[in-house]
This record gives sequence, C-alpha cells and structure tokens, in this order.
Amino acid sequence: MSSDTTVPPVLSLADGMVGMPDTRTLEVEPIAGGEFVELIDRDEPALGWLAAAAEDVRPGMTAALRAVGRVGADEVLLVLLASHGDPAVVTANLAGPLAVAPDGAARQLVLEEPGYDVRARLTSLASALGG
Amino acid sequence: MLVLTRRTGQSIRIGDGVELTVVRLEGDRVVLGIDAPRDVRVVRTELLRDLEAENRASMEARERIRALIVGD
Repeated sequence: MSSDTTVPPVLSLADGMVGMPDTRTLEVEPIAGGEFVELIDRDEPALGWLAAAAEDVRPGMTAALRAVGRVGADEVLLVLLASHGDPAVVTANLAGPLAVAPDGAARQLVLEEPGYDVRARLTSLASALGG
Repeated sequence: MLVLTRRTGQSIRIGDGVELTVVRLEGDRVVLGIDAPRDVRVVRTELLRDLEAENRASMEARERIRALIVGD
C-alpha cells in the first residue's frame, strides 16, 4: 500500500456503504505485507471487502479530488476490489472510494466526475497475478 | 410521484436551495442543469444502483481475490 496511505484499525461509516446502510463499523486487517487491506464488518464478520490504496491504483486521484473539495486534506482513499469476467480480472471501484480520516471516520464517495470507473481493471495486480 | 411539464429554459425549485432547469433536448434525452448547495449530493440514480451492485460484487469476490493475493 502506498507509503502515504495510513489506514486506522477501525473505520466508522456514519451513513454505511451505498446500498448497505447497516454496514457501519469495519475492522481493518492488512494483508500481503500491507499492500492491501481486508475490511471486515464488525457486526457480521462474514461480510467483508478487500481494498487497496487509491494512490496505488490511480496515482494522483487523491490530490485531484482534494483540489475540488471532495476529499479532506487529512483523508486517504481506499478503493474496493472485485473480480469480473471470464477469465476473471481484478477490478477496482474508482467511482465509490472510501474516504478515511485519521480518526477512522469514513464515508463512501459517489463520484460522478468522468474517468472514475466502477470497474477499473487493476492492471498492476492482474499482471502480478498472471492475469 | 409529482409530474410537471416544463419547456426548455424553464425550471423547478426543490426545497429552499435546489433549482432544476431544462437546458435543452437532445433526441430522447433531456439535458438538465442543477443548482444546489455544495452539501447536497446530486448523482444519477443508475450510478447509485451500480455502486450498490458493485459493493455486493466486491463482497462476494472477497475470498477469491484474497486467495489470489495471499496465494492460498
């Protein structure tokens, strides 16, 4: 994970996730040597997501969104990973990143701005995985 | 649902701070202009649907991607 992306151990989403308003508290577990994090629903541990630093997927994304006031100066961005297609490729959701403050307060952004795909192919991970 | 008829250039006001204007028609599409306070989130309904679906897809892909990443 990008060296300037420090993620608190617990995220608190006052409004939940998009379409999942009851998902309020996520525990953060670094995996793969800290390159990625696993976000686990504290109330329902069977529910969880894998995420990467937005800066590792789209360098400059955080600064661009800070410049237009969408992200606070002290917030970092995480993007949720998924896999789609056959053969499956790993994708990152750039349109709905999590903005995370140092105290763990988090919110899922909804980005209408062009260029932020819901399913952006994660080429670096895909190539690392042989995809 | 409240249904109103507007012409190009005409507007409707929603609450105290949101104004919706019909900018122009392009075939079967309507171009809308929206003036709203910065704290009012304006998004296309289908984007919210896409994000909800993707949140669920990401959740379902968790173990698969985890296995790829950590090599389980």
